[in-house]
Amino acid sequence: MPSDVSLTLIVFVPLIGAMVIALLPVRTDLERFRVRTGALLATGLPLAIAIFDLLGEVGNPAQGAIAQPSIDAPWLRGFYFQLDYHLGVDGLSLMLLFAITAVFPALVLASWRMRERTRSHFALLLIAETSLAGFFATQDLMLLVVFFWLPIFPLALLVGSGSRPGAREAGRRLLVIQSLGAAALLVAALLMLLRTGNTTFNFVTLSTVGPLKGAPGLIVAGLLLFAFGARMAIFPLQRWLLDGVAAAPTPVAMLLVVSSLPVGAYGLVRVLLGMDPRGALQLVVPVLLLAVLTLYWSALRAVGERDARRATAALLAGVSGPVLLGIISFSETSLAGSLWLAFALTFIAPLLVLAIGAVADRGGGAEITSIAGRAVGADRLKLMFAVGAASLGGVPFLVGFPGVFQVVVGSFAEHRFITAVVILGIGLLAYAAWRVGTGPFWAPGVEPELAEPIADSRGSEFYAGWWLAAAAVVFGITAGYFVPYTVHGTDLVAARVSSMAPAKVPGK
Amino acid sequence: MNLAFLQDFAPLGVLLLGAVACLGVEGGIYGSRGDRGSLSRWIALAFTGLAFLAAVGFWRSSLGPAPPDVEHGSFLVDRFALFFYAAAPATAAAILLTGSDLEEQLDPHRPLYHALVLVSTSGVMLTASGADLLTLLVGVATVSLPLILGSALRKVDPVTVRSAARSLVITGALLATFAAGEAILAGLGHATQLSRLEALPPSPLLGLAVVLIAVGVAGPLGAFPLTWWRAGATAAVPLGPALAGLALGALAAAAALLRLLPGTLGAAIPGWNVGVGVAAALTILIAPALAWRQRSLLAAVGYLFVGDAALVLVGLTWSSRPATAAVLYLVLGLVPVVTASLGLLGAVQLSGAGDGMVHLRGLASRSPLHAGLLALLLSALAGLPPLTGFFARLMVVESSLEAGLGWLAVAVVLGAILSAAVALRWILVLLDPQAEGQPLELPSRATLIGIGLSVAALAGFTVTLGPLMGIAARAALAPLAGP
Repeated sequence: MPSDVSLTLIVFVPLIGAMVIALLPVRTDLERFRVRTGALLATGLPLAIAIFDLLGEVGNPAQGAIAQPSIDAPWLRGFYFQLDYHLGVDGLSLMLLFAITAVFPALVLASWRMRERTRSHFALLLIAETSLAGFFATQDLMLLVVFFWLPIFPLALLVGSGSRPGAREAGRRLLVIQSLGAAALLVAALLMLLRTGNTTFNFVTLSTVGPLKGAPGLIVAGLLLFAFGARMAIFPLQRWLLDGVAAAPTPVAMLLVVSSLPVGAYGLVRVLLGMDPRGALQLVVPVLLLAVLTLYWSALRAVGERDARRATAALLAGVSGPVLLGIISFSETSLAGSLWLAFALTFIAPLLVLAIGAVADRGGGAEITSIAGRAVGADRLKLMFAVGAASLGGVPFLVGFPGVFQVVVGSFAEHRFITAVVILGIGLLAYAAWRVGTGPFWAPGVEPELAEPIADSRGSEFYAGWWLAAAAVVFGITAGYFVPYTVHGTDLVAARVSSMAPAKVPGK
Repeated sequence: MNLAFLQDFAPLGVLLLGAVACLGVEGGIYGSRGDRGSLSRWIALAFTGLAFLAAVGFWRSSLGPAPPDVEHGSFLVDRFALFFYAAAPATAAAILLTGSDLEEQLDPHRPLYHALVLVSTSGVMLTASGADLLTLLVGVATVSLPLILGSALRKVDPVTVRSAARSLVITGALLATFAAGEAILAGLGHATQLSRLEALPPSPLLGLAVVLIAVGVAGPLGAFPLTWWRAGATAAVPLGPALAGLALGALAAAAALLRLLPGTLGAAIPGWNVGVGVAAALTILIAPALAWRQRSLLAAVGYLFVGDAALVLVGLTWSSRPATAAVLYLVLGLVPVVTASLGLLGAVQLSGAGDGMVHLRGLASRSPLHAGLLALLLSALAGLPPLTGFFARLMVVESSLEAGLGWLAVAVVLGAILSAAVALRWILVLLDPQAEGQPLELPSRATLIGIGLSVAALAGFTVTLGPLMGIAARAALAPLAGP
């Protein structure tokens, strides 16, 4: 299949699926089954295209330069600025786009047992997939702004329509914070266009022609940091994520974490470093500070939190710390590590939320004390949590390890002290994960026979968890094959930033 | 006898024939008493469809290296006019469909209302074809006066009649203002034909004439200083005529202003664009601020629309093909938003629920379809990406920058932020935790089809931004060259 068609299908098949599902009746169980099956098909087809067509065409990066499939059709011409329908993948985006197509079938499976608002849930889920896939697949900044904006309303509606206390408040908070972030991104994009004198939003042109300098560069960088930082839930913009995960139904919480950190990390590398490197260089110290604050604040919050869902969300927000460190270190290795961490989190984050969410759903609440020891016999959930937490802590042969390793190795030469602080923080994060998991799954100090047991995962929920855990293991073992894709993309960005950096005087 | 000239008037003539047919239904010539409203609506829809097809055929035949403009005295059929020939009947069809539930307020004079809508639509065509100051005045009057008459049809309600009378007085005053501006122009150029006014040198008197024209034409849409009046008038009269007035009024205002200002007086732009820019900036900033204060969604939507319509004035400040094309695209995107939003709000009112904050709080959990559509339409009015209003705003900002009016660009951006804040506030109301209340009834099938088509047009105009701008750029050639 031609790459232009395959990329278009990957992005827009879910949207077509959403439109079809919105028209289907949902009066009987059979009709609801049709809706669910339709959603699974609409998420399965992009995955099949990504595996058999996209990855096949790109080839093996270890054998040299990789092909970069793309489609570039004019959208608006003959005006002050040009807009293009420009989709394409390169080393920066390929793995993240693939991860998005891979994780959505699991989200559909996790949602399989939803009885209320089946049609709107799956339709909004599919719209979210289109926006996330489009975000990673686009090569035009204005399209990126559009795809960044697009999932906000579906996510807010999904979170806000939940039945748990605080759901609507969480939906409103998400809407406000993310809308502000999207507005900041839009203003940054327009400033970039005006100040560089370009007439196109094409990534390559914006990355190579007329880089921003001085105060405009700093303003644009600040706006981009706010926009993508809010999506990554960095300090102090974390509450929307914590409240959202705590208040939303488990499948929606899984979607929420999938659409947060990977999007923010990719945006910072692609737009901030790629198009405003001088601005990024001016932000090194504040970003390092934010990295440390995000990591420690989140880890301590996860340790002290009494609600297991909120604690899990805090754990995941904490990963933004190492990711920020990798990005602001500007080296090829650290950037690749940050992107790989974002890729890994696409699987790890929903897996952890699924395991904890399943326990809380069946245990009648997420209070750590109320579910203590009740999932000791739930071996499948226990295994899911263990795989997720171990991946998060950077255990070798799991998907998180290459990311953590590359961030630490790549950042150490540039920021030794901060890297050491971050390594300690990762340890604290691992301790927090251990604390969150030991409550329900291992229960030190609680007699297992005294706690009312929680049923283990089965059916569609189990398949969703199995799919995510398998991805965490498979991509951990085969990291040697896939990591070069991201390295292939980051070398150009790192070279561009280093060419803009002031030369260091030997001996000083 | 050579009757070939008749084909040049075909779209306009079809609409007037449709109006006569509707009047026949009103007079009881055909159709039983019970279903007259429905019958005349279908007749009106059929005639708007015919007019649209005739206009599209005309447009296709006009494509070529040299546009074969047809001129009959003060009546000119060029690509610019043909753009409105196609847009006006499509708008009328959207009005008739989305407003079908609202027409119950006008019983037993629905057929008369349909005839008035068709006459008003033909007024848009007349305005777009105007090659003379007098034709433009007659065209603008033909758009506004029938719909004011339509808004007075609900005679059982004294408030409505009073409001219609007030609207009639204000519209009359605005037409007089427009006529005064035209009179100054005619005096300066010693002619009423637009082609003889092109070489007017910049002068304070020319600036005054242009400001009077801008206020006279854009005033019915709420341009400063009429900003306070417009949304109030929308809320006070029956919604059917109100939405027809806003949608057709926007088209007519754009047609008249583009013909007169960049199309005819483009060479003298330094003499007048600052005045138009000031009126635009004030409207753009005041309208969303007033929208913020509203506790009724209908009034808020009215003010947001006023702010959007003022962007037309911003696009006029630079005389160029892209700027004119941007205005055409802006108006085209505005029409489905206003028809769908007012049609939907009218249906909400008719179902017994109010349109206040109290009534709509938590609507998302009770009636997700209503809430989703309202959120979408509010986003479109506020110009949130990726909807048409977003691209239109981008383009008029560029126009004002190209015109050297950076302060106007800042005003547009500030207005956009204010509009987005208003939209966000109402969307948050729809998502509010207070979810008590009854689900809303769905509108009638005709209204649903109308809203669906309007929303599809909104999405389609976004996806086909490039081709649509291409069409708009072709249409924009004519006024810049002068008639």
